[in-house]
This record gives sequence, structure tokens and C-alpha cells, in this order.
Amino acid sequence: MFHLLMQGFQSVFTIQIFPLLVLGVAGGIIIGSLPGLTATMGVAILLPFTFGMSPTAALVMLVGIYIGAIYGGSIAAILLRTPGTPAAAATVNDGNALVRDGKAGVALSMSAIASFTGGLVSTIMLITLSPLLAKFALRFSAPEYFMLAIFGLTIIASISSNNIVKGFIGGFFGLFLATIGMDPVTGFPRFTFGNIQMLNGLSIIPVLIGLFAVAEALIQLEDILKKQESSSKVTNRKLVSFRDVLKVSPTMVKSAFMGTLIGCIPGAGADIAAFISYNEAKRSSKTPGKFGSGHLPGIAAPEAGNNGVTGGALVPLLTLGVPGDAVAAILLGALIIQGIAPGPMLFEKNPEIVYGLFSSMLIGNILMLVIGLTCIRFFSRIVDIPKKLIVPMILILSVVGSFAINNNLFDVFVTLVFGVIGYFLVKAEIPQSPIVLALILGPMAESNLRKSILMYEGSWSFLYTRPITIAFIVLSVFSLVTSMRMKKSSPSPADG
Amino acid sequence: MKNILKKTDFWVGLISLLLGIFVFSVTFTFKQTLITDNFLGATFFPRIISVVMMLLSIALLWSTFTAVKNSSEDEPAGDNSTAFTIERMKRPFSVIFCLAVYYFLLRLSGFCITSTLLFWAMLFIIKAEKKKFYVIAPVFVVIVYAVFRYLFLVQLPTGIVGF
Amino acid sequence: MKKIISLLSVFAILTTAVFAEGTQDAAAYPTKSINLIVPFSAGGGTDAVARALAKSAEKYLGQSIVVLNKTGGSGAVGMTAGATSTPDGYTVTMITREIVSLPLMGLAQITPDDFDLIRLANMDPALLCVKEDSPYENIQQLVEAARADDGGIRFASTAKPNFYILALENNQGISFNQIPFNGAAEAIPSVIGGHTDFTIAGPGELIAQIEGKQLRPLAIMAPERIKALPDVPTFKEEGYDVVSGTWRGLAVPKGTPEAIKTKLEDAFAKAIADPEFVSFMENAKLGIYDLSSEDFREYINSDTAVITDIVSKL
Repeated sequence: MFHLLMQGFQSVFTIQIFPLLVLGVAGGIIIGSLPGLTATMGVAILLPFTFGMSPTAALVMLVGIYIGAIYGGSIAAILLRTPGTPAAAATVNDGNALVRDGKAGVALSMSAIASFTGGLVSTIMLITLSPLLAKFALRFSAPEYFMLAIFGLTIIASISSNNIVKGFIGGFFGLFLATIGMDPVTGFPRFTFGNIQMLNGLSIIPVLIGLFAVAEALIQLEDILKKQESSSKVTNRKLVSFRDVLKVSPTMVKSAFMGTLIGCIPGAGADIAAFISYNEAKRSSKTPGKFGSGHLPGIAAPEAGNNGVTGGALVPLLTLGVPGDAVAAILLGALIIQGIAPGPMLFEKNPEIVYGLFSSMLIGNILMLVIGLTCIRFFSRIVDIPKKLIVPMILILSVVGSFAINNNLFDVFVTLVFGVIGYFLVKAEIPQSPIVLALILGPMAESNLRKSILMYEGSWSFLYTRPITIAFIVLSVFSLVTSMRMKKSSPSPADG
Repeated sequence: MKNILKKTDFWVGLISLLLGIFVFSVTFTFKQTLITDNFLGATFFPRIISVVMMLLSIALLWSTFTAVKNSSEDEPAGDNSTAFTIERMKRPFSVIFCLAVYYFLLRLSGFCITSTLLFWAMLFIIKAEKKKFYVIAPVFVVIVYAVFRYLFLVQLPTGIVGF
Repeated sequence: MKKIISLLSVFAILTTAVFAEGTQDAAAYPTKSINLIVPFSAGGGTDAVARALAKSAEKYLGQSIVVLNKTGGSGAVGMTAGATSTPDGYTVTMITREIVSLPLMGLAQITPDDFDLIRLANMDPALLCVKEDSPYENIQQLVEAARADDGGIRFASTAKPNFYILALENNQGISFNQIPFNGAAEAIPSVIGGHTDFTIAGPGELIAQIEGKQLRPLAIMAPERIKALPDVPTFKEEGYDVVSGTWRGLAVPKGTPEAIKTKLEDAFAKAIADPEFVSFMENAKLGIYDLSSEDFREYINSDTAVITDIVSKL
């Protein structure tokens, strides 16, 4: 294996291929940081350009974008409270709290290091454990997916800042939004009021941009006439200290591990991984009250978790020939275009491609760290742009981003409506993350519950006859109880 | 008891209660479609959601009531940043109005012109004095347009003017 | 303020320039890039065909083709946008079988008659697969098992409603327990994992698992055996008169000038025959099915009859 991996490294470090990887990672970071442009889209746009390349070159570039974009999502989340991708929604609170303290550099470097750790751990797991991970993934069927979604929903309790009831009201509002569109089993159009635009439901990204970016811009408008802050704090550029990184490293490795496991289950992606990692970091923390107010593990956990998905998502691709998420689906297309059928035969037939992929992921993660850390000086400048200029800019970019995702003006409408809703939510102190989480998990919960009932022909026995579902039930109860306790023991957290 | 009307949570509870009732009642208009699902059907999930939502709203309303009762007169100072006052909300609302107009103009006059106008309108609302900002607006819009058009291959709405 | 005025005048001049460019006759077509609307998301089968086809057609049109993924409503949103766009030849739409099925189920307001057809490019027959160690050796055993245990055999469906399985059910008067998955990517692991008994999808989506000995094909809903899988019998050979599959073709809004349509059809006919496109389709195990615009219309009419029949029995 090491021999093959060395060959992989050799194939990546060539004049033809290495620049493509650098280009891919850098491009991915930019794409990810712009709300509305996702890793999926970046990879899809570049796909036709790879037709003429060698298989390794094509994969290397696409993988670079993938890795870069998931990290890039955190940049806008941290600096502007605008998650570039749904996977960065969990990073918003702690990341942005640090920026307000003038510690943009610390937050950004923490995110880069955590993303790197997540990507690295998960790539190593992909290389060494993929047959085992595939077996784990295959045990997941509708009942397991349903309970995973329910477990995910219990996280609402820990991410709803100080009033659990209001957090859950937000969560159930999100679940309601998730039922809009064609019912997943019978195709009946629910709550669409005859509008074909709503048949497939609300796209998650326009809602996300509205709830976070537009709402934040509107909130900023309230105080915009007050004194302009003395901007350009020198501390903005300072990076996170080595000691702090060491302190959060157990959290990062744990999150990376969970991200990989979630990534290798087809249909569960970086967004879910980020929230679950955040929840676990908070649950196991000695100082859970600090989360949400610029606590470093609050950045490290979701970022390591969502980049942990990158390796995991390739497990089903390489072992089963089915993609683990939307980006892996395009990688699958890229391989097919090159005349290579991904799947179990790939290791035997084209080991050079598999190991070229592995080594480009390892190097790509290192590149992401290097580019991420060196560009912090540049990124953190965004904070120095006068508020009167950045607020209109954010609003226009929100419109562009929501349009770009489907080339559909209706999505712009959705963004603006949710911008107004988000504005009122912030004013009413209802956190936005539970809504996003519910919107991600709602369809997963409903369709898999109904699939399970169909499989068991009307019986609910799947809840207690399958080991993984039982495990998830226990985890869900545990998660709820601990976060309720947490709330009771710390009635007045330092900061909302 | 009049104090309750000033409590944000009261309104949150009330609105979500109404939303829950609305969702619950709409599910009764759902008909079986061509494809059948003999077990839970299209109504099950929305109904569960709406019932839980109603219960949560009642819980919130209840806790607000008891809190108001117990606190008697001494009104807590209240966090200024979340106050629903006209003074605070007039600028956001002017911008929301602009955004609504913007949305309808977008298909007519295209992205570049409409967005520049939106930018200027917002600068006017927030009383930006610097002339430089008014010049930056079209430059920013055109750069965004070009980057998306040529780099990300996203054709932003062109309206009848063609760009 | 002067700066603003001068800026505005620049905009005005640019506007008129663009207007002038817009009024050109069909002879010069195409003079600018052409948009190709794909009604499904980036990364799917329809998207892959569209992007490969766009790339090879650019050569013959002399202009770039921009692929736009307009998703929503199982394709209804993108195809509606395509049908209602300006009929100037600068918006081409990738239409799929959903253009026939959606209006029949009342889920879309547009029908194939809202389009002028350009060319059919691709047709994929449906392939039925079971798990490698499944007890069902051939399609008869599966059908008989379903007859014996009505609604007991679990079918991992890739879409709702699934016209492949409905065609088989109607033909044989049997029923399966249909579990709806979100596309083949989710249905396939559930069959491999043993949670469901079989699935039906395009050959391109199943070939990797077949080669990897995880899935075993039983029969294909094609008129005759396909090149990619010469050992797999057709349903017809096995005694079931079931032919079904999905297709993808190109269309422009109704009312597009004849000269433009001819140019587009010529270019896409060449693009479909282009060796680069052919090798792409072969690699992806996607079937090339090249029909002229007239034959394409007839093909749609016959498919409409098939789907109308299925929908009426639902």
C-alpha cells in the first residue's frame, strides 16, 4: 500500500498536475466562501474542462475544489455571519463572536486548522479503513436514517441559545418548511398553493442566505448611524496560539472521526456532520456555557466535522460505486467520463487512480491549510470595509447567490422573504440554526419513517428490533437530557 | 395584565400557535393522489409537527403569563438591541421596501442597472456622505456581474436591456 | 452628482448597443452564446448528457453553449422556463420523459406541444437487478414470487411514481411493495445491504455494481439486448411484453424560425455522431438514440400513449 501511495505522490508532484491541485483548492475556497456557490456547483462547472485531462489530473482538480469549498464556507460564516454553505451554519455563532472581539485572525486560523485536521484524519481513515466503513454504511437502511435524523433534531436543544422552548418552536417551524412541496412517497403537493416553483420544496440555500445574510444586514441597518467603530484593530491579524490548538485537538480528532462516519453514509453530508460534532463538543465540554460566545471548540468541532466528511463521502464511491453526497456524484461522473467505472473493481483495475486520489487528498488538505493561513491577512480585511458599504454589498451578494444556485428568480424571492422572517426572529431572540437544521433533517426524517413503515408493512417494530436504531434512541434521549440539565445548571450564560 | 402585550415571547407564542392551527387545518384538504400510501400518508407528518408546535406555543404563552404575573410592576429594563420600536425599525423597513421593488424590477431592467439603483437607494437611506461610495456601487455591481457571468458561468437576470 | 450622471449615460449607451445587437436575422445565427437549460441538478445523468453534448455541439455551432441547471418540480420548473423563453434559438432545453408524464399527472402546465423538437439524443432502457446472492435466478422466479406473495416483495424505487415497475405490474397484474428512494444512489445500497429485494434503473447507474459482483441483472426492458450487457435477456425474451426506459432530447420554444431550427438540428446531429460524444456515452453506458425532429415527435406521441395507459390504471 505504501508503495502505491508513494507512486500516487509522485504522480501528483508533477508540473502538469500540482498546479491544478493548487488552482482547485484556491478556487474551491473562493467558491465556498460565496453564499450560493457550493462545492457541488464548482465541481460541476469545472467538470467539462476535465474531459481532455488525464484521469488523475481531472480527479485531483475536482478533489481540490471539494476540500477547498467546504473550508471556504466558514470564512463568510465567521467574518459576516453568512454561512457560505449549509455546513458552515454551526460555525456562525462562535466564529462571529470572536470577530466582534477583534479576533478575526484567531477565528479564521482555528477554522483552517480544524478543517485541515478533519480532512487529514478522514483521508487517513479512507485509505486504511474503507472496506470496514462500507460495511458500516450498508447497515444503514430507512429505520437507521430515520433515527439518525431524530437524533440530529435533538441537537436543537443544545444550539438554541437560552430558551429551549423558543429553539424548538424554531425547529418545528423548520420542519413545517421542510414539508412544503411534493410529499416524498405519494407525490402529493403540500402547502404549495398551486405554485409549481414550490413543488420540489424550498431550496435550502436561499432560505439559509435569507435567514442569516439578509437578516444580519437588516439588523446592522438599525445601528448603522451610530459612531463608526474604530476599525482595523491590529489584533485582527493575530493567529490562534499553538497552545490553544493543542487544547482543542482532542475535539478536532473526535469531530473528524464522526464526520467520516457520517460522510460514508450515502445521503448524510457535511451539514449534518457539522451540527452533530458541535453538539458532541458542547455536550462533553466542561464549560458548555461558553459555547456561542466565541469559544474555540465551537469553531473547531463543526469545521473538523464537516471537512471530515470529505474522506467519508468517497467510501461508498470507491467501494460500492454509489456517491456519498452530491459532490461525490459528480466525481463519479468524472470517473465515468474517463472510462473508469468506480466501485469495488477500481482497487484492482486502476489502483494508480485510487492512490492518486488518496495522495491528492492528503496534499490538498495541506495546501488548504497553507493557503488558508496565508490568506487570513487578506480575508480579515473584509472586516475593515466600512459598514455603510458592506451592508449593501452583502444584500446584493445574497441576491446573486440565491439566484445562482438554481438560476431561478423564485429563489431570490425566497431569500428576501426569509430575510424579513430572519430579521424578526433575531429580534424575537429565536435562534436561526434550529430552523436550518430542521430543514436539512425534516425530509430525511419523514421519508425514512414512511419508508420504514412500508418495509415493515405497517409495523413500528423497527424501532426496537434493529441495533443501530436502538443505539440512536439512547443517544437521542441522552442528548436531550444533558442539554436540558446544562440549561438548568447555567441559567444565565455569559452571552446569548 | 396589559404588560403581556409588550412581551416579545407572547407574540412569538401567539404567532406560532396560529401557524400550528393553520398547518393542522390545511392538512385536512390533502387528498389521496394517484400513488397510494396505505400507512401514514401525506398528512401524518405535517399533523404531528403542527400539534407539537401548538403545544410548544402554549407552553411559551403559559411561561410568559406566569412570568408577568410574578414580576408585578418592576418591568425589567429590557434589552435595547431587540426592542421593537419604530425608531429602530424604520431603516430596515425602508430597505425591505426597496428590496421588494428591486425584486419586481429585476426581470425588467436587468441585474446591473437595478442593483446599482438598489445600492444607491440604500446608501441614501443610511445617509452615506462619502461620494466615493456612490461611485463604488456600479463598479462593485459590474464586477460581481462579470465574475459570475464569465468565471462561474451564471447568467444573472438581464431583463429587457440585455445585461 | 456629475459623476452619477455620467455613469448613467454610460449605462444608456451600453443599453442601446445591446439592443442593436439583439435585432439580427436568422441567417447570421448564432451570433452569441446559446443557453442550454437542464431541468435537473448538476451531477445527474441528464446533466452529464447535456454537458457532454453541449461541449461537442459548440464545435459545430461556432458559439459557446452555457449549461444552466434550472431545477425544481421534478423537471417542471426548468422545462416550463425553456418552453416560455424567447423563441430566438438562444435558449435550448434538454427535455426528458417527465415532459410527457408530469402533465398527464397534472403536475405541470406545459406539454410536449409547447416545444419545437430538435433532436433525440439518448435512450436508456430500464434494467432490473437483484443482490448478487439473491434467491431469484431469473425474472420468472421474481414475478412468480410476487404473484404468490402479493405486495410482499420489496422494490427499491428510484422515483415516484415509478413507471418501470408500473409497466411490469400492469402487464402481469401483480404488485410489489414499492419503497421510494431519492434516486439510484440511495436505492442501490439498500439492495446491496439486503434491506430491499431489487431495483430498476438505467444500465449506466448499475454497471459498476454488476461488474463488482454486488448486483446481478435479471432482465432489461429494451426492445432487444444492449451492447453493454450482451448476456442480459430482455423482458420480451422472457415472455413479458414490457418495454420501458428514459430518454433525453433537445427542444426549443414553439415558434422558433425554421432556419434556426434547421441549423440547430444539423449541429446537434453532428454533435451526437461526434466520436468524442460517442466515446463518452459508451464509457458512461448511456445509450445513444439519435432521432430526427420528426421521428422524435412520433416517439413522444407513442410514449404519451404508454404513459397515459399507465396513469389511467393508477
